[in-house]
Amino acid sequence: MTSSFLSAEFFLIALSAALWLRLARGWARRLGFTALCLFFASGFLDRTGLVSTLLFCTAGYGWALAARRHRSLATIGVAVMTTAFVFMRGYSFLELFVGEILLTDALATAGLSFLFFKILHVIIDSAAGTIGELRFINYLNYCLNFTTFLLGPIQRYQHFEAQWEGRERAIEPGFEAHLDAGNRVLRGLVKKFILAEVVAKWALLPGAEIGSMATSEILLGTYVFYLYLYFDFSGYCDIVIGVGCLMGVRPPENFRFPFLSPNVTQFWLRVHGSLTHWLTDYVFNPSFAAMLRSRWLGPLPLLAGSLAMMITMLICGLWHGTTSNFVLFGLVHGLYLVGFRVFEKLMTRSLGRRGLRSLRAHPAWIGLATFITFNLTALAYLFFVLDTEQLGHLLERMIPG
Amino acid sequence: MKIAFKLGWMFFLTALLVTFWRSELDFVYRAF
Repeated sequence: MTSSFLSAEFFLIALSAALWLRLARGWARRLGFTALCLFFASGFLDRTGLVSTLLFCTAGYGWALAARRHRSLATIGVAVMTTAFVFMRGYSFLELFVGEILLTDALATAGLSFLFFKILHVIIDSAAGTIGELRFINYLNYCLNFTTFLLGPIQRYQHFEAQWEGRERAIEPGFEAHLDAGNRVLRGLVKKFILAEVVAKWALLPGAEIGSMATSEILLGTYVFYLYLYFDFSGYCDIVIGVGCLMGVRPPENFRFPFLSPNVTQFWLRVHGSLTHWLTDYVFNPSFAAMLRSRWLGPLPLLAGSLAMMITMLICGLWHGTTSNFVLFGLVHGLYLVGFRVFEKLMTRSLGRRGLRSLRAHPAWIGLATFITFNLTALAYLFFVLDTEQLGHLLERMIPG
Repeated sequence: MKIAFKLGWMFFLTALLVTFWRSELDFVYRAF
């Protein structure tokens, strides 16, 4: 289990996939790609991990077919898959409900979080009737697709299938588009394996010993961690999007200069766009709609929206990690988003829509908003890196007495 | 002209990677 994106194995798989998907046809193309994806996954998963991943995918397929026939089964399918996911990832809060003997992290496989969201999307969309024919082999290739398996981007099945079946083009034909894709892979490698590695020396990374560090050093390290995360994750995305373009199945975009976000909503659209779109479609929108239909929250749309936002960000935090600091990470971002929403309402009330629009377009306002957003989002990474015990020590140090 | 620039950029990025990651790219040298 030693695969990396800077290894002979990865480049061999990428090259073989690009050639295979263009040259092979029919079942050979489908099964060949499955074999390549399994070979890739075997670099990160042991035998138990591979078997549990395949079982998880198959269970998801079964629920998607069931939801297609009876819409109401989608809810049960989502609940069952969520329970399986929580158990497999070994969330720390499980200790409160089940005996220690039942807890295992042997099934916490690489890529499980992304696989989970992809499968839930297939179940929900199957019930809604927005997925056409759901062939098992195409579904399996969608789940195991090596370009999105480990860390996303979270592609939608319809998007994958349209390119897989050749109804949509990943890139324009011709030399220049292929050159661009190759350059994108190289740019990603430079970001991930040079820039991220360089800034990692000064970044506050998970597991850091903060006892011997000054508070200013910890805070500065958090800002550098933001930079490190950007280079590492956006570099990874560049690599897989470039490979996807060469292969003919392009994953969606994930990053768009998050440092330049003028507000927290924009930050989430620019920092992990495919996750934000997923959470908006499958958590925020349904919960907000349900609250608006309710007798209590229906007349209070601002409160309903804020509650839906908090639930969404709580799930976002829990999805990122299994420990309580990730709950705090989600809650902090939830409060940011709610604060921004309330601020926008108040500003609209005092300035009017047109006034707010012209204020937003003013360069000084854009600069100030970007500066504040950058600092707020960078500091929130403290909750991402430090566990709750370390956060407690830091708080004690910052508030003397 | 545009393609020449892109090819040059590709060459530059490759050179950068090879310079910084000589040890990790051992498999390339071994292949030749």
